[in-house]
Amino acid sequence: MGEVTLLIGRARDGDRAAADVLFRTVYDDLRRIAGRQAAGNGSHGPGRTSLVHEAYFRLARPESLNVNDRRHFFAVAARAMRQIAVDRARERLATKRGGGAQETTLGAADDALADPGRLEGLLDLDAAMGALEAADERLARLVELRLFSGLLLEEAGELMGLSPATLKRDWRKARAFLHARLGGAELPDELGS
Amino acid sequence: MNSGADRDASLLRRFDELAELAADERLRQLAALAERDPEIARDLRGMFGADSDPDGPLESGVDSLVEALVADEGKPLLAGQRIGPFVLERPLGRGGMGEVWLAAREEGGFRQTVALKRLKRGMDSDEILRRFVQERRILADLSHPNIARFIDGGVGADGVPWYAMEYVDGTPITAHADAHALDVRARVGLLALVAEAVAYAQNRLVVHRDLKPSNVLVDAAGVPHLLDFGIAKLLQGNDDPQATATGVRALSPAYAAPEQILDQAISAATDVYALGVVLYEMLTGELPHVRSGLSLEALVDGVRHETIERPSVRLRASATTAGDAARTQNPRRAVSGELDAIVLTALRREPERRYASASAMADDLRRWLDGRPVRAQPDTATYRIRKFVTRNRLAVGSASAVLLALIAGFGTALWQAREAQLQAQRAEREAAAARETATRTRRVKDFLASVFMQEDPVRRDARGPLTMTEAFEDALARIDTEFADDPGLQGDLLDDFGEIVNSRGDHVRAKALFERALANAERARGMDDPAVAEALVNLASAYDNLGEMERAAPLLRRSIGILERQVPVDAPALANAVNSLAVSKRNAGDNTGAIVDMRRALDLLGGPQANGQAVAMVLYNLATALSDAGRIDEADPLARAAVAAIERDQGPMAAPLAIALTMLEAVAEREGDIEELGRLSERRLAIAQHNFPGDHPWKTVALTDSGWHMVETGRAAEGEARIREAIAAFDRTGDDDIGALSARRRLAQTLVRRDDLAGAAQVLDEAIANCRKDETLESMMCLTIRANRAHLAVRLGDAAGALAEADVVAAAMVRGFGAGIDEHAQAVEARAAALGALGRREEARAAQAEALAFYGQLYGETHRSTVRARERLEAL
Repeated sequence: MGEVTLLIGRARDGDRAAADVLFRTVYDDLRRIAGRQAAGNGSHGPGRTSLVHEAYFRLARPESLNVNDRRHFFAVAARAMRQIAVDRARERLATKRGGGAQETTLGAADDALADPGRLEGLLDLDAAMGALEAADERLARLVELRLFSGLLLEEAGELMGLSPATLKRDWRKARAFLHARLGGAELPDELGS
Repeated sequence: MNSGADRDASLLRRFDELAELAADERLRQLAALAERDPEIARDLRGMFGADSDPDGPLESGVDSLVEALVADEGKPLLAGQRIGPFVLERPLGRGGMGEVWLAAREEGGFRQTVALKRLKRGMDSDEILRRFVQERRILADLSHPNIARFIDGGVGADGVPWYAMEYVDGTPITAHADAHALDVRARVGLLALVAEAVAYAQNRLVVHRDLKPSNVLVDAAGVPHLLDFGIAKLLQGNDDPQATATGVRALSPAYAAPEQILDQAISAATDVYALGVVLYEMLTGELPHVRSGLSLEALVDGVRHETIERPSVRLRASATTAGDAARTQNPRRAVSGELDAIVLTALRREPERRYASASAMADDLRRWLDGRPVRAQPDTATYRIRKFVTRNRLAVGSASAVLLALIAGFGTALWQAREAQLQAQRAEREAAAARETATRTRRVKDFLASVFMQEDPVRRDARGPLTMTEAFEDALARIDTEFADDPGLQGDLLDDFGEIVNSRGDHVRAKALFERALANAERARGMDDPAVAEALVNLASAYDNLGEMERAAPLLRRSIGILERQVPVDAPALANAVNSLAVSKRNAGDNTGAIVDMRRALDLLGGPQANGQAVAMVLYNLATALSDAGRIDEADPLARAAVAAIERDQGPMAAPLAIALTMLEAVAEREGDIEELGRLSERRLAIAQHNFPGDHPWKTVALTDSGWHMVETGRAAEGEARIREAIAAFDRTGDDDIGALSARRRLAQTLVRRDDLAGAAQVLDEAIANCRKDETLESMMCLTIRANRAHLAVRLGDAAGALAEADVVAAAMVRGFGAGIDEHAQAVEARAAALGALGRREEARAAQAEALAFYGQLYGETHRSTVRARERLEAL
């Protein structure tokens, strides 16, 4: 238990090995919680907020974490969730390419998973976030928190210590960048002339 | 940053600038920019286009997709796919736990059809498989006409757990009763059968934990079959305190007993509760309470307060809804009274107030069916006794409290007795497996005995009696021929003999043996066998001993990989490998990596509070590694834990304490707690004397240390005697150079204290002569002694010589060990004293201030070394 708190501290101090162990721990725990919750809830998933929060309360001792540790934990959890989603999307696509398999049962959640276009879309988003990360690390972290940790935009901003104005500007910029990168609409020409 | 990232960064910057502008101004600037840099203008245009569009990829349900993926249970199953020994035929359905398929296997013309469940992914596969292995036999042994047999279970190639049960073609018990318009009697009869089946399992110590209509299927012949017996325990375990919140949700809240929702102990009475709910539902058509769709908090709260309406009352209230009139001919009368009592007894909130087991409940249902009086009473014995106690509180006194406790605890006690019985059964099965290995063990034992007894008269005649070493060599040679038929066993023996050779210090030969052991294990047992992992660890230790650390690490990593893949994981073996890797990393200078590994090893062993020598060893390693890394705050508690672990495991006089206590002494030293230091070194001496004979260096070192602490706490004469005794012992054996030097240094310090400066100088000169002889003049200990000798020279009037020596020593110290450590500070102080004596006051003060700063940094401002340094500065 205290181990994760220690790992967070060390990872923040730049200890690579500790950061790796921390990521691995959070990744595994999120997968496990997701599995358990999914097993209990029938067809639909548990939602990411509760996943990350449960991992947070299980792994870290919230009372012993300061603001920076908390931020670090959520950042790691968001990255882990992104990794889980991307790993699974790849796995799914590989299966489809391999066998052209048919879903045996379809629920609402499965529809999304059965659509290769959406899975590829997620992988494209992941790649675009990679480009964003290289250009502006903070923007990428913000998007990651918003999309993968289940935090609301305001909560993500608060966690990152951004003022409301900065948050608004950052989000707008990151969103425009990603949408443009993912083949969003181009500014129509007639307005440009 | 690559050029793409550079470009993107400038793109984002420009977006910021342009975003501030009004739309038309922005378009104007974009047009202007397009002249200079059409590419970036195009990209910016794209971004603003996306910006003005309220919809985009981020708004198109990334959330729900991620959610679905995270909850995804993996690749879809297909007919014809193989899982374990079974081939899937057609899907039967999908439940909370995962998918169910009809599957079959064929063996020797015999075809077995099963219901195969594949669990949702994300469950802890290793842990589940471990429990499968543990419980499989028990579950497979449940053989009852009303229990669907557990057939097999495992983890698929994709890491998803599955299990197979006897296939039952039937409908849930409630639906069956309604479909066949069964009357109350028939319904109770059906449930009595179910309760008897549950009782059968409980007698074999298996609790279902998840009884509900969908787990009780009735076939076309009207025979009920219980599914998933014991599975809930497999999936949740009963030893995971973390499972609380999620564990309940994996169950069906409507049928869960209060103790399951409140995360309290599970017992036979837990199944009784579920049977009560199913009976209630069969009698009234409704659940006794509304629980579905509630949050965990609401569930917990609800369970604490919920009251249950008698089935007959519920029937009256919902008389019209029971349109399935057949459920009951004149249902109310049939249900009221005794059946009410049976259901409510089963549904009591406190497990100890329900039927103690399914068997007791089945018995009462039979009584009802036979028209005999039932045992369940609205006014139960416990209740009456309680009332009696309340009325006669003073008179009854404590005896009745005991009686009450006995009655209340009876169900639990019974359960515990059965658990004990289960343990015994398990032990018996393990004994059978042990007999198998015993055969092999005997072979090895016979072999070893033959070596030392020299049964072969020809050989004895030829060579005469063999020495121990000869016998050993002889045996080693014979392993090759005598165990050629069993390369696995041969490998094990080579490995064992390698360990002996290794411990005798012949690492080259040990290495060769371990290499052969490894090859054998790989060939005989496969690349992924624990025996391979063990040989790898041993081979690595041989390399470590040979100083080839870089060759040890990859072997250990491979070993760890193998051990991590074992199910169940052999935690002590894995911890040993991880710890070995940590030591190897530390030897190679990677202290940080070593610390991470050691922590992992510690976790594997069950944390600092766990028992066993390995725990103490890892704690000791970890504490010293942390201490070396300067992470004192983390090191100290672990040092204490290491000492505590040894004491716990081996008693207060255990030999390893002779080393481990030095860690606590270092803590006391740093904290300046001289009294504690004295106590600890005294204890260490007693332990060393108790454990080691003759002039063992650990004993002599403890003699020196405790002697010095006596000197420091005012018992100078006694202390000096101890130190002199230690020096004599060191000189006798001549094998611990550093210990001997340290003892002489302490003696000199003692002599200085009683102003015998010449005597002290003589002792230090002896020590320095030894350093010169051993060519260790620049070792840490010798440099320290030289610094002390220089300091003494100042007082003996040779300030110029002292200054020259102090300068040489300080420089060597910085070169070899870095500036600012305690020993360096001592050299700087010697220099300050020499400068002071030479009248170079400003330089002297500067040097002393430097030393003072070192001490302050090392120990804080109030430590005695710091205080003494400050006094010296003031005196200059």
